[in-house]
Amino acid sequence: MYRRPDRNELTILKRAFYNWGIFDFIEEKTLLLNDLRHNKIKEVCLLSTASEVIVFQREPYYAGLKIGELKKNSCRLCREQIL
Amino acid sequence: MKTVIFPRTPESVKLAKTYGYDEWLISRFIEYVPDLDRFLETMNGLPNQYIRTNTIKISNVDLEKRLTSKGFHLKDTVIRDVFAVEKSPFPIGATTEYLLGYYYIQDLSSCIAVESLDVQEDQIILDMASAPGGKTTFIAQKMKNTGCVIALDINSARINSMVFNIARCGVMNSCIYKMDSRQVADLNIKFDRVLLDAPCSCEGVIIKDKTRKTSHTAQDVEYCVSNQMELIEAAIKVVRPGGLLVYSTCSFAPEENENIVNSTLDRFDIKIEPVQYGIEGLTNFGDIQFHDDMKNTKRLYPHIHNTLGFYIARLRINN
Repeated sequence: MYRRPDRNELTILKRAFYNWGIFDFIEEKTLLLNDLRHNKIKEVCLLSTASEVIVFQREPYYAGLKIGELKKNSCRLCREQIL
Repeated sequence: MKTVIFPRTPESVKLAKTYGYDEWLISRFIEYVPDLDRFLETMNGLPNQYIRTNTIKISNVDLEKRLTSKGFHLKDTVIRDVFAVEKSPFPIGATTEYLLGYYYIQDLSSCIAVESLDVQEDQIILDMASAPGGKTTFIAQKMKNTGCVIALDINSARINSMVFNIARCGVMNSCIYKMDSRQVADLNIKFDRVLLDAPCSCEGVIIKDKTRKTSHTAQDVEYCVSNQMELIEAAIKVVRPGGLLVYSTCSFAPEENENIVNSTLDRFDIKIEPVQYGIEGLTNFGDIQFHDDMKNTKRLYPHIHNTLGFYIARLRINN
C-alpha cells in the first residue's frame, strides 16, 4: 500500500539522501512508501505530483520510480535508478 | 464483422505458394497492399532496427557519441529521438547504455503513434494495453516526468516486464493498474490523451515472425475485431471533451483498422484529424465503403516506410 512517510521515516530518508548528495534532486518530487506485506521492507518511490493524487484515489499495482528500500533504521538507495 | 475473404485466383495461389503464405491472406493483400511483389520480398527479409533515446537520462547527441564510439552506425529518422541502427558490432540490447536505460529498442512505427498523441507536460494520459511499456516510457519522457501516465494491462508477466522497463528508464510519473482495459471507466478519471494500441492479429509483424504467414486465421481477425470494438468504445468514454484518442494496431487488416474507426463515427461526436506520417487509410475495402475522413488515418508498410506494418488514427473527441 502506498502512503506518505511519517516523521521518523522522513528523517531516515533525508539522512540517506544527504549522504548520497541527492538532497536537491529529491526536494521537488513527491516521496511515497510502498509497504510490502510479504516482508517488512518498505519501497521508497519517487512520483510526480499528479501521480500522487491518482495513487491515493485508487491503489495501483505499481507507481512511480522505486529508488530504494527503507528498513527500521536505515535506507538503502539504488543509486542507478536516480542517475 | 465477418472477415472479408476474396475468391481464389491463379495469382493469389501462385504468390501464396511462392512466399509461403495462406492463400486467404494473399488474396486480401492483393486488395489493399500497394506494390505487392516488393512488399512480399521485404516481408521475407529482416526488419530494420530502431532505438529511441531516453531523453529523461541522456541527450540524443551524447547517446549518439557513446554508441558511435562502440562501433554502432546510427542514422536520423523522421522522429527526433529515434535512430535507425544501420550497423551494430554486437546486439544492440547488450550495451551498458541499454542497461542504464539510455535508450529503448522500439520500432519507428510505435514512436509515430506516440508522436501523433501530441503529448504535453502535466497532462493525464492513458495507455491502454500498455505492456511491455515502450510507448508508456516514450510518453513519460515527452512529458518530462510531469503529469501522470496511467498504464493498464491485464497480464501479470507482461506487467512485470513493464515495471522493469519503467525503472530502467527512470520514469516516475507512471501508475500501473492491472485491469481489463474495457473496465477503464471504473478508474473515474477523464484523460487529456488516450493511446489505444489495440491487441490485433499482428499481420504487420510478419517480417519479425514468419510463422504468422500461416498461423493466424480469418476467425482470429474476427475475435480481434470484437475486442477492438469494445476497447475503442471504452477509450472514447474516458477522454475529456476536446481530448485526443490515438488508435493504432500492428495489423494491415481493414476490419481491425478503418472499420473500427469508421464504426465510432456514427455513434460519437468525433473528428478524425490527420496523422503526419504514412500513406492514406482506405476508403473502401471489397464492397464496404468507409467515411472519406479515413484518408486522415495512416498506414505504414515495411517496403515503403522501413517500419513494421502499422495503422494509426487520431481522433479528436468533441463531446
